[in-house]
Amino acid sequence: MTTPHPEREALMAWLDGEGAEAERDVVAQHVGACAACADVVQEMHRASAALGDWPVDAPPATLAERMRQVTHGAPKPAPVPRWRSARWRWGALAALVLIGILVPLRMQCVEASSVCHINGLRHLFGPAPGSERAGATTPASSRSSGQDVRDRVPSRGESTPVAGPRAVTAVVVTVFVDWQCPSCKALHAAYGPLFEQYAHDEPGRVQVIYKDFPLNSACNPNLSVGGHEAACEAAVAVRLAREKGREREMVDWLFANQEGLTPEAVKAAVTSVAGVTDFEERYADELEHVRADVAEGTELHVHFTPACYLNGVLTNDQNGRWLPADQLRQLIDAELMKTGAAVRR
Amino acid sequence: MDGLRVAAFVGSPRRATVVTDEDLMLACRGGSAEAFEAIFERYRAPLWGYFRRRLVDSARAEDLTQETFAAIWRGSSGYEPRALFRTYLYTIAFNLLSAERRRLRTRATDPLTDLAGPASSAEAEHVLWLRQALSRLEESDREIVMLREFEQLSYTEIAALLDIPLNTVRSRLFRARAALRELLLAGPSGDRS
Repeated sequence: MTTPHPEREALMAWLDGEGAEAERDVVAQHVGACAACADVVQEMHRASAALGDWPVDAPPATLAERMRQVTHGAPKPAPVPRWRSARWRWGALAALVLIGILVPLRMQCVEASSVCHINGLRHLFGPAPGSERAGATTPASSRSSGQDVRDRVPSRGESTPVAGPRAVTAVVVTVFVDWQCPSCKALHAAYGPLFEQYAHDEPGRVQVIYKDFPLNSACNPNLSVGGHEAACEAAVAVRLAREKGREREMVDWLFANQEGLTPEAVKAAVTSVAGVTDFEERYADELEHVRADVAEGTELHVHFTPACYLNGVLTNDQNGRWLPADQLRQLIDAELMKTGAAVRR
Repeated sequence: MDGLRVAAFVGSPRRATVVTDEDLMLACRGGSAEAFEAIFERYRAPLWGYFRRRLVDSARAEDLTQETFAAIWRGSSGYEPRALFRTYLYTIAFNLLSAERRRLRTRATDPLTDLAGPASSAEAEHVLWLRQALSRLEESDREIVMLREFEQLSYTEIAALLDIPLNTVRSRLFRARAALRELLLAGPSGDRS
């Protein structure tokens, strides 16, 4: 121990991303070296996660119509003074450019580093019909990963320790993804180098499991209509590419060609990029595996992508935004510390 | 065989080009309904959640959500980006909520029952438990912890919104979370002793 324990308020502020950078650095270094403080931070994180398990229903559909009446029925704001007009023109131009980008998207992608969810997601903020609480003991296959994430991922709010194969693997990061989701692409760019670093520094200690949660009604019953046009095909393509040892190439291609991706383009690419020649024949069977992942996500109340769990605790905030990579690293380091691993970063 | 998908991705972080709320509001100032609609899309769900978690009556939650956006639209001609738009938005929402609570008080309805009141039939048991735990906090502490946990406001934003010192936000938030943690650990009954 090189520094005294920070006050608990300071730990809380650090976890919230608050405080001066110098203070934050001191706390970060301490937490990285002190298992007791790491435990306190984890407990605080769990309490916040418990509150995050208070979803609300989706905004009423009538709200948008009522707002249209306001903007089209009410008098326009007073004319802008002349001295403001140049700034307004630039602002309007910027807004129109944004709207031109946003409007064609069916997805509500708040921003690329944030979250994707579907307008028509039926149980957007609630348990799936007939499902029990997340963490249900009903066994179900998890053919994509070989592990049932529900064995490790309790409902947020449960304060019970999360079981895991700690003897070998100290940290399991589970990410529900849609390969056609821009936010997943951003997460991949941000977290990829971090995961590679752990693979190099702590081989086998940090496992990353990607679960499919395509935002398309053809393979995800949470959506009532449409969604990302090629999301189901992309999920199957990555699975088949994995068998060929070409997963990385396939994922890179999907992300590089994400905008305007079509099922036909995916089918062509899975052959040219990954050497898969039996996509059509195997599609139906593989899609069942995708659906098994979706079912797991549904039981966990996943309603956006990417949804990132760290040893069973959802790390996205209440608005679905995923953590910056440096904060995820601090949480992973805290988990590693608890199992006695030396954190060398 | 399906194995673990251990990430071995490479790539450099990419920064998305995002038009800020303040940019959109400057466009609104000139009367751009399209920019306002973009603002509405961004904040429709968060603002609805703000009112919905604090009011039992979903119809009033919808009314106040609409009133907040209407106030933004009406006031957009005089908008100046002195602070984050988000703070401006939640200040309006907070004022409307305060007025609503005053109105409820005159009807002899304890505003605390907003949180402790009956949940809808569709609401899960654990949500009811959270509502009850929050209802046991002091009102000022509860507002701070809710603004932080649900609206994700920074300490500075909360201080500006509630017009209290930054250190007060921090100390009250810590106190509220500690109390809340105890209540949540005690289980749904709330009786720990």
